[in-house]
Order: sequence, then C-alpha cells, then structure tokens
Amino acid sequence: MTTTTADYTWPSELAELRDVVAAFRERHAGEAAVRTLAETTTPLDSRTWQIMAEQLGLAGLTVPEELGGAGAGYEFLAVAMEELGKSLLPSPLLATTALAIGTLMRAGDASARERLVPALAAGQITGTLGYTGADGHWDPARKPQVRATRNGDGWRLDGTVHHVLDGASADLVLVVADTDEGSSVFAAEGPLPGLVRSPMATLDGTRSQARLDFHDVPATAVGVLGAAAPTVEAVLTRAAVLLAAEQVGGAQYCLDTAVTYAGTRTQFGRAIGSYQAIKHKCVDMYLEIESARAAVYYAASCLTVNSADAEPAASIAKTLASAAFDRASADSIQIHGGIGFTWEHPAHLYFRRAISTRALFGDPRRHHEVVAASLLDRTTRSDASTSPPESRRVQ
Amino acid sequence: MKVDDERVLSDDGLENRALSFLADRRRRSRTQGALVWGEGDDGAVAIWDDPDPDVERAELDVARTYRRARFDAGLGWLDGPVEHGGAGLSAASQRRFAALEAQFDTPSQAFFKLDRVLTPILLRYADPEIARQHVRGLFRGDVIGCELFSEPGAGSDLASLTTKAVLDGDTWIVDGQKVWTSDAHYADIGLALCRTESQVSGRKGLTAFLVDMRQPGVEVRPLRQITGGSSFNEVFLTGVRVPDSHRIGARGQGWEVAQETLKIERTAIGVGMGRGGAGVANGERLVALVRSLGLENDPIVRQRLAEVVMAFRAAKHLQHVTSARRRAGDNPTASPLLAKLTLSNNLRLASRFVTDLLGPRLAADTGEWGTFAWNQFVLGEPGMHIMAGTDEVVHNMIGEQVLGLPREPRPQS
Ligand SMILES: Cc1cc2nc3c(=O)[nH]c(=O)nc-3n(C[C@H](O)[C@H](O)[C@H](O)COP(=O)(O)OP(=O)(O)OC[C@H]3O[C@@H](n4cnc5c(N)ncnc54)[C@H](O)[C@@H]3O)c2cc1C
Repeated sequence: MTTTTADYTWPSELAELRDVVAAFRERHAGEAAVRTLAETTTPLDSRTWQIMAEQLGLAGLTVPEELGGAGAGYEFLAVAMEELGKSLLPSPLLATTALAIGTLMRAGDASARERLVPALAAGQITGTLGYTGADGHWDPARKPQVRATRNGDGWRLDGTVHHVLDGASADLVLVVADTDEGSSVFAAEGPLPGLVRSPMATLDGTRSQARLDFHDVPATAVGVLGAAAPTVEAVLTRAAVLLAAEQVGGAQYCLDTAVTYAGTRTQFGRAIGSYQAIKHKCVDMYLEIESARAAVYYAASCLTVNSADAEPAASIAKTLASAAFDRASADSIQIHGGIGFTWEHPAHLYFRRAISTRALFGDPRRHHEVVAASLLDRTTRSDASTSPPESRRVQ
Repeated sequence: MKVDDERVLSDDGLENRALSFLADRRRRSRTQGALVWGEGDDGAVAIWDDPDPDVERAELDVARTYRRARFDAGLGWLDGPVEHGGAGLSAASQRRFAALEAQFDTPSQAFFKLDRVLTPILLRYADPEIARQHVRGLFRGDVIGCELFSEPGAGSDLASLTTKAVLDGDTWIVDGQKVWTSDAHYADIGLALCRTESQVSGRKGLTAFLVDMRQPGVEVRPLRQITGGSSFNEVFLTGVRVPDSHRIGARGQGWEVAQETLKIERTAIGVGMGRGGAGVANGERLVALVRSLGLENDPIVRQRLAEVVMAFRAAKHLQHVTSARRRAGDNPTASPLLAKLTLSNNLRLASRFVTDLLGPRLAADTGEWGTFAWNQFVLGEPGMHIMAGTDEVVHNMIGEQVLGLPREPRPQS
C-alpha cells in the first residue's frame, strides 16, 4: 500500500491562475450566457473560446513548451477546471484537453503529436475521443464498437460510438477502433463524408454528447496498433481528475449560494441558517467539498510527477468529488425551498451537471473497484513507473 | 508539489545517529513496521488506553525510560527550539524519525499525548521560567499533562463552569470539580480553567492555571467507561494552592487559552490518528482483515473497503493540502475543526465496516487473532464524537466561524 509523506507546497501561481480564470468567468460565463448556450445547444462562440485558449492559455496548460503549451503541472489545469466549474459554461476545454490532447500525449506517436497537439493547445481546433457504446461505460479492456480496416496506406472506420463529448462539434475526432492487432487509436480530421454526427438529448444541457456513426470514414492510425487499452486507461485517469476538479467548483458554487441564502432568508423570526438542521447541512457540504478538493490536488500532483499512486488517487478524487457535488447540488435545492425547485432558479442546472458528471469517466462503483483492486489484488503497473512525466510544472 | 522527504535526515548524519540509537536499545521489529497478520498485538486497535492500573504503571515506567534516553540522545524533539532542548530541525525530520522508529519495537508514547498540545500554549502564555521547566519535561517524559476543563455542569457550554479560583496574596485557592479528565490518574500537571471573577459571568471571568496534580487537595477518582476500562477521571479540587506564577495568560484570558488548546488538540487528534487509532487509519489492518476472512473477492466488501480507505486517504490529503494552503496565506480557522470532524466520521465508517465484516466474531471471542480485539475499537468509537468538542458543537463552530452563518440564539443574560 502506498503511503505518502507528501510535503505539499501551494505555489502562488495557482492562486494567480485562479484569479485570472475567475475574472474570465465573471465576464463571459454568466448565467444568462450559459442558459442561452444550453437551451440552443450551439457550441461556444469562437471568440470566447479564443479568449480561453489563447489569452488564458488554458487548452495548452499541461502541454510541453516544445508543442506550444505552458508545460505546467496538472494542478494548474485543475485550478482552471475548478474555477470554471463554478459556472456551467459549455466549452470544448474538457474534451480538448483531457480527451484529445490526453490521448495524443499518451499514445506514443511523435508524428501525430507534433502534427495535432500544437493546434489543439492553441485552440485553433477542438478535439474529442469516442470510445463507449450505448451503455456509456469506459472499460479499456472491452472490444471497441468501431471496426478499422486497411485501405491502401490508410484506414477506414465503420461502426458507432455513443456519448461522445462535444462529438457534434469537435474538429478532431479521435476514436478507438478494433483491428486485427487489437484495439487501436485513430484520428479522423477534416471534412468527413460518411461520418454522421447526431446530438444526443442530454439531461445536462450544458454538456453536449453525440452519437457518431462511421460509414467507411477515412482515418489515420495513432500510435502502435493494438496498444489502445493502456492509452485509454491513462486518459481516463487524467480525465477523471480534471472532471473531479470541475465538480468541486460546481459544488462550491452550490454551497456558496446556499450559505448566502441561509444567512438572509428568515422564517419563524430567525435566519434559517441559525437553525442547526440547516447549518449542519451546510457544514457537511463544506467538509465533503474540502475533502474532495484535497483529493483532487493530491491526484493532480501525482499526475504531474507520474506517480505510481496516480490511478487510485484519481479514483478517490473522482468518487469524492462526485459525492460532494451530488450532495451540494441536492442540499442547495433543499435549503432554497420552493424557489430552488423552479426552472428560473439556477439550482437545477447544477443538479443536472452533478448527476451527469457522476456517471462520466467512471461512476463511483467503478472507481471504488479501482481502489479495491489497488488494495487487494497485487498487480504491478508498468506504465506508471517507466514512462517519463509528460509535463513539467510552471516555476 | 514535492511528494517525498526521504532525504531530510540523511543530510547531516542524523539518520545514522537515529538508527544507531534505536538499534542499540531496541529490537528491530520483525515486521519492520508493516503489518503481518497474526503477529504482534492485535489489541493495538483500541481507541482508548485502558489497561489495569498495575500494568499501566509498569508500562509507564518503561515508556518513560525510553523517552528520557531518546531525549538525552538529542532525538526527543527534533523539530523543537534549541533553547528548550529541541534539535531545531524541520517537521519533516521529525516525521522521518517517527518512520524509522516505527521499524523498531519501541514502547508506546501514548502517555505523553499532550506534549505537543501543551507546549505551544506554555510557550505563548506562561511565565517564561515556568514554560522552560515544563516544556523540556513534557518531551523528556518527566512531566505528563492533562486538561482540566470539563465539569459536571459544563461540557459543550464550557463557559458556564463554576470551579473557583480566589487570590490570596500571591497564591490562588482553587475549589471545584472537574470531570472526564483523560490521564489525570498519572498526570503531573493539569491545565485548569477556573472562574476568577465572580461578578463577571461567561467567558470573560475565566482564567487558566497550571495545577500540580501531586499536591494536597487534588483528588483523582477513575471513572469506568464504555469499553470496560478507565482512561478518564473525576478530579476534585479542594483548597488547592496555585502560585500566581503558574497563572497561564492574563487574568480573564482563560477562555482564549482554552480555545487555543482545544484547537491544537483537535489538529493533533486529526493528524495523530495513525497512532491513536492504532494503525487503523492507513487501512492496512482492514485490508489484512478482509484477506484473513477470505472476503477479498466479495464485490460488496471490496466496495466498502474502498470507501473506508478513500475516506482515510482523503483525510490525510485534506490535512496536507489545508496546511499547504494555510502556509500560502489561506483561511486557517477551518483546518483543526475539519480534522476532528473527519476523524470522527471516518472512525464511524470503519467501525460499521468492521462490525459487518466480523459479525458473530465480534459478539463473542473465538480466540482467533485480530477479530474479537476489534471490540475495543467499536466500543471506543462513540467517544470520539464527544471528546474535544462534540460533533454538534464542532458543526456549529464551522458553520458560524468559517462559513459565517448566523449564530444560534443565545439566552438573554
Ligand atoms: C473520551 C473522552 C475524553 C475526554 N477527555 C477530556 C479531558 O481530558 N479533559 C476535559 O476537560 N474534558 C474531557 N472530555 C469532556 C468532553 O470535552 C465533553 O464531554 C464534551 O465537551 C461534551 O460535554 P458534555 O459531556 O457535558 O455533554 P453536553 O454538553 O451535556 O452535551 C450533550 C449532548 O447535547 C449536545 N449539545 C450540547 N449543546 C449543543 C448545542 N449548542 N447544539 C447542538 N447540540 C448540543 C451535545 O453535542 C451532546 O450530543 C472528554 C470526553 C470524552 C468522551
């Protein structure tokens, strides 16, 4: 069992980045903007995305400098995600960084990396990764839903993936497909006749998912054929931590609004926050959020230094953040009373986000199992200990 | 973030000195700190120490002898200030030494658990000469401390306490009764909170004193607790004489002194759980228990084990991350309160898990190692929700002091 005697430092640059992203959020990600985007399911306008990617440099935060990024540790991207999570702005950031860049950085294909990562890091193109079937589960050991066949020098893809984040709008679609050598990663770029993108109706309108049907779609192989499973696993680990950071931000927003409301709303002659039933609810929310946040930053630092503990740490972070957001979004509705149950009030938007992200990138049951396996099944993971860190931290 | 501090001790040769000290006096434990199922003391899971008094006396002597030798070898307080007998090193050195020490069979130091709680209080509030004497003693094993705060009529509402201290020349005469006092039956000193201003009610009329527990007028009566043993006591104070030089803080500053003490104690409880919960908090013992029962492939057991261990890990990360943020200038009030709450939540989770795992083996002793012994954990766990501020009171404090929620209505006085 891994025990840590971590001597944490909390770099002041983390706080600076948080302030910058908070300022962006206040300016560009207000509730009205979010509702408009959510109700029309249009992607984020390109100008706002350019601000996020170019001016704030968020898409390339963990990308090494030689590929056009900032070469920062995962803690930095986590801080940005956490801050953005307080608003529900639909943006290509999660899919582009965690899925597209994450896959390209882990797939061990230098030429694909050099060709595609700089444009993603700069926000010139957005990206995603398709993997799951209709059930939405990411199981890296499972046979993919798409089949790839050789076609001269290239490949052709046939099949369907579901629940693809930003699948309707992403410029670069990475997909895991089955080959004679086993599951492999492929990139589909440019205009793609034969690819039918159907937006799925979503419980959380601020996070779009699509079904992608591939009919003889041309694609290029990324990395070694048959090597997709460890790549997908590593990507999932990273995506789980970043999503957990976002969940912590969402939960924090719910707590903040609940506390404010409990301090002002009076019933029976007292502020409702002076009743212990309400006060203690807020404190329990707070405790869960602080615990989840700590787990996120620990997991992020494990990713930065490529620690062998990264995988269980990511699972812990994702589980705790899901639980914290779950509780905070539900209790916030409760504390707001009837007003919290209206369409006009933003509480339901967070409740929706909490429910949908709980299931994304592994539900708590799956992550419990990852942790249980790390405790009970003595396996050694080769990729964690041998591959070099993919990013360095900002100094 | 750096994730290791292995090299902290080696730089100045301290690691070698520490190892040779340990190797000279103590057997290297066969298990090198790691748990081997069926070996060692399976009762180490007890939350409260409560052996019979003769055994305890003997253990105390052994613990003291070791502690003195350790202090005299310069290893007793690595992160303490040099002028008080510390080695002036970092907290990381201290942790590294503790890790080395864990590889040897060393006597439990649980008798001295207030060393790190009382020291900062004495250094901050006591007469410098008094502080000098006792701080050194706390780390050398010459002095054991206890907290004389609670009274039969004043627990959560500590400010309503009635134990009186009246000034007579330059000596205070203390009369009253304290209760639930952990370790008072072997303590040498007690930090007592007393009412000194009879006209002023509540917090303002309180003052703290350092009471010599060995003097006439101090009577300690052990209380038997839930677990069957006794680690806390009633303490009767009758005409106890305390020189004014043993006043801790100014007259009327007692509330602040007690609150600071409880704050440090809560952090110590939260952080020190690895030992207080006797190796429960890293989950290793629970994993071994699951294996020994052959339940490692049971999907429900796996889920619940993961849940408990996650909670332990989260508590540890919470501690590390909140203290890093505190060093970087973030809100400091919360972390001791969160530490205490996290601990009591986690112990409850672990207790329920163990109870379900063991079933009948917890209800009656089959003689099997590492099973029935958990009764001392399960029975001790409810106390953790009460000591050093009940869960309810800690919730109130976080709600009001950290989140800024409206205060509970107070009675008009
Ligand atoms: C194992 C153990 C060791 C201890 N060691 C020491 C020691 O060394 N020194 C020492 O001085 N004391 C010690 N204590 C005492 C401890 O600090 C008190 O027991 C504790 O503060 C609670 O006080 P009480 O027992 O009087 O309960 P009460 O204050 O009577 O509380 C009873 C119940 O009412 C609840 N309650 C009270 N007020 C409120 C409120 N405002 N809102 C909501 N609920 C409330 C409490 O949470 C509790 O559930 C120890 C206690 C235990 C169990």
